[in-house]
Amino acid sequence: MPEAEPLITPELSARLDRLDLRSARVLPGGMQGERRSKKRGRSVEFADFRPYAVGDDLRRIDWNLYARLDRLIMREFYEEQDLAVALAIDVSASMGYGGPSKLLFAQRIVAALGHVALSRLNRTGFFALGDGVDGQLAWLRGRRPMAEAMAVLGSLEAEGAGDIGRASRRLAPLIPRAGVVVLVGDFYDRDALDTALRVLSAGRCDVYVLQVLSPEELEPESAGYSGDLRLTDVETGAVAPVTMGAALYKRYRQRLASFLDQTRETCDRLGARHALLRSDASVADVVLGDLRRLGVVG
Amino acid sequence: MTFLALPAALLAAGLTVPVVTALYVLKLRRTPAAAPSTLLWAQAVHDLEANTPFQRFRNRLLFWLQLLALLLLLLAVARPALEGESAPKGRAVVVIDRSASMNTVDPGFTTTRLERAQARALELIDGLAEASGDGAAVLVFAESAEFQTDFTRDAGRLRGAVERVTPTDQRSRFDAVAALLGGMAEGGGPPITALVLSDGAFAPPAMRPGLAEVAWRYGRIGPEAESSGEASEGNLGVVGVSARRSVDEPERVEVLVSLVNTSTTAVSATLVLSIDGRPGAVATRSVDVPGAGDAQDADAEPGKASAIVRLTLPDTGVLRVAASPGGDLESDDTAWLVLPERRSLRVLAVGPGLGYARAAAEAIPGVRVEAMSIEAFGALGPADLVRNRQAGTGYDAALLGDGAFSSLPALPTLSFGVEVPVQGLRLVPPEAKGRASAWLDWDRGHPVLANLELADLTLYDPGRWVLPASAESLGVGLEGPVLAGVKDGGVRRLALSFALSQTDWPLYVSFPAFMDNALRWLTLDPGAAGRFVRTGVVSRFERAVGAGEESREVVWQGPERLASPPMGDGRGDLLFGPADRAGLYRAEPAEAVLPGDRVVAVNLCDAQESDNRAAASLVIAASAGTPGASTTAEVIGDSRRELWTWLVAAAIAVLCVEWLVYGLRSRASLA
Repeated sequence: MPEAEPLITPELSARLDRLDLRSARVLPGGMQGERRSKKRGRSVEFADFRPYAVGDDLRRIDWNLYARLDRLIMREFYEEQDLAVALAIDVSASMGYGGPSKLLFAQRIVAALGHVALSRLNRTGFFALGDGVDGQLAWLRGRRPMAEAMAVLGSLEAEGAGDIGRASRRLAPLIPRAGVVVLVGDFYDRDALDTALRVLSAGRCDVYVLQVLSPEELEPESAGYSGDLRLTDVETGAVAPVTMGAALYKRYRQRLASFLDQTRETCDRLGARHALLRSDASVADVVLGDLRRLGVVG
Repeated sequence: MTFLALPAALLAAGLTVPVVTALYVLKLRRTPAAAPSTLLWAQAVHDLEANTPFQRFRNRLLFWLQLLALLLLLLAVARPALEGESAPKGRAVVVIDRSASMNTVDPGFTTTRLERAQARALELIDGLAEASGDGAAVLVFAESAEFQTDFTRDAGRLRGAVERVTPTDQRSRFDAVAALLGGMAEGGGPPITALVLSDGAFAPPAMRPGLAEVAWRYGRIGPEAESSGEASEGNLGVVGVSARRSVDEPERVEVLVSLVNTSTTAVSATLVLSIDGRPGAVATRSVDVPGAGDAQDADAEPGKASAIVRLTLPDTGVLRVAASPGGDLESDDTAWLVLPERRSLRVLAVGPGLGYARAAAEAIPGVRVEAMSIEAFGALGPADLVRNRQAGTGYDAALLGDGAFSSLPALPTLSFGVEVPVQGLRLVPPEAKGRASAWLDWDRGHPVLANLELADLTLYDPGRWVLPASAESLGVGLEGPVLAGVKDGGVRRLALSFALSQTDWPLYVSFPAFMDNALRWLTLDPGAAGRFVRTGVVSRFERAVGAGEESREVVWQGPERLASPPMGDGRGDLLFGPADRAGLYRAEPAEAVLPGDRVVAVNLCDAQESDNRAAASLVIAASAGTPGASTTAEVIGDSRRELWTWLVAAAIAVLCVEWLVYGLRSRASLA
């Protein structure tokens, strides 16, 4: 990625300002923010009526009802709180594959979601997951640290053999309370993903799994592979001798479809939401389209 | 054992064995490429082992099977052969008998003797073409002998010539072979070795110069009862067939059939006669034919028998005679005969003194006598006198009475006491007059005088004949020859040295019998006994007058196609034959041939050929200078046997096993 190129463009940034992160559940916040909580508080959104009790704030007595009913009735409002948002990127070596690389695409997605989260005053943490939590920037709030966050995101590199399960075990204690966790990676290790989802779901977090695969992985014919190849796994170093051909492509696509189905089934089973993203897709289309439909933003 | 192509096999081994081995040792060279994960390429993981340049050799059954098959094929390329008959020095001649007896299928074999002879010849040729110093040639014989190639070392040409040899129904005349090779040997040049592949079912050749210079080798083609355990059933064949119409009742036909039997036991043969291919038999007759006697003695005379079958056939036709059981040679099981048509004779009586002769001739059925003066006879040309049956003109014979004849046309004559203008034939008058004479002796075996009693006759002053070499004396009186039989340029003549007025013979019953015999002999028609042509023999047929196509070729369609280009004799007569196969041949166009000749019957009918017992040895006359001396041809040893076909078959079998093993293992791995 050219260094001069920002992860999100100003135009996308302007469009993202109208969005907010969502969680399937109403999660407790820590500080007052822009997210409605279960608690009654001082927001403008009416919640309910209740009889006056000694000590209540006299400013919230509904004097109109008192005039009609001759009883003191209190008006209650929802309290708006912030949301803990953990944005985690798989930075294992396999994420460096593809053109553009899956890591760059993941950085842009996380940057966009981080922009939305920080803009809405959510407590936002950025995490790089490799064999463990290789880097973090937490917990930020408001637009002021956004530039720092983008810089940190842009400096991430794909290297080493990752283990998303072990990294998630490290990540879970770092999340202070229930919140939203967005995992972005290729998740070839389904057992590791299973572990990660169990750990993170146990913390009552809403987990979104954004699985990024490159066009070359989705359509191997387009990768320019031909003839007899000696494929080396960039993470494990395992070698697979293959002879490319129509029959092998067909069998690969069948296995890929099966792999994605099983990943999706794992996510469904453990309460996470799954989306498959192509690394050559437009970030704006993904965030404003796919992720909105998925319920990550709205 | 020798290897005929060892260098080629070694070269092939050098090229192929390393390749097969390398297929098991060398591995595929693959292009390295990075992948985010090899998880999804797991289906190709089984190729993992093949991804290093070399692998440890593993003892696999499939490898050994493939190597074994390859080695067998390489061995086949080397053409290993078992040593056999050594190639002769000088010129080698492969002599193949293709006569009728070679059509025999011997017990224990599925091919004819000729096919076995051809196979044996091909085996011999492989060695001859390479080793014979002056090359080899192929000679085939039956009725005649003919070289199929000149002397060559080109095995392909020799093999082609052998493969093109066709069977015949002809008899075998080894004389023709002896004449050819004897003449060649006598002419000098490199020595000749004749490798005769035959059953030896023919008469030994006559002695001639040069035969002793030829090295004769005999490859006996016949039954091998000792090895197969099966004995030959022998052969029953028709070796003669003739027919003759009754003089008194021309619609009655007597058919004489002669049979031979080479079986050791007597055979009750059934003769089935049919006419013109019509279904159903016109006659059936059983004939007991005695056996040949000792089975081990090939020289034992075969059993012989004859049968006369009387038929009523008013018209001409083609008679088919089939004998069963035929035995192991089919060529002589059937014979055909074109039956003679009823024939009438026109006889001319020239001159006076022929009253009794005319009366006796006119009493013969079918004979018409016309009288003519000597002057009128002399005024007629040959075209008016010689019988032309198509035109219905001329005469079959002439009776010559008192008078002088300065010349005679080509017309058979029976003369009574007159000079006959035949060179060398002279009638000497009696030295003294008034003497009675008689027949002292006469040829009782001659057809003219058969069954006649002449001793009681009286002759008055008969002359005597002075005979030329072309004449024979059939009867002798006190003075000398009184009856001369003359062949005058192909025309038969009978000349009596006395006139009928000089004898009392007309008063005896023997006179009309003599007249009948004489006219029959004079007008003897070869077709009178039924016509057929022997295989391998050339016959001449008259072209039909008025066909207008004297230059047109006539084709005879039958078991084979025979073309008869017209002869340059001005009449367009046709030569038929020589035919290889027996059967009926029909002329096309039919109108180009006389009606009686439009169908020609061709038969083997040869007792020697029907005796198809294979001779144990081949006796060759040694030299013309030592009559009776003979030598026996050496027996040809086993020819060199190549083994490559067996090796290829074994290689294919091994490959089948390899395929089976591979299939079973693949099925097991899939399961």
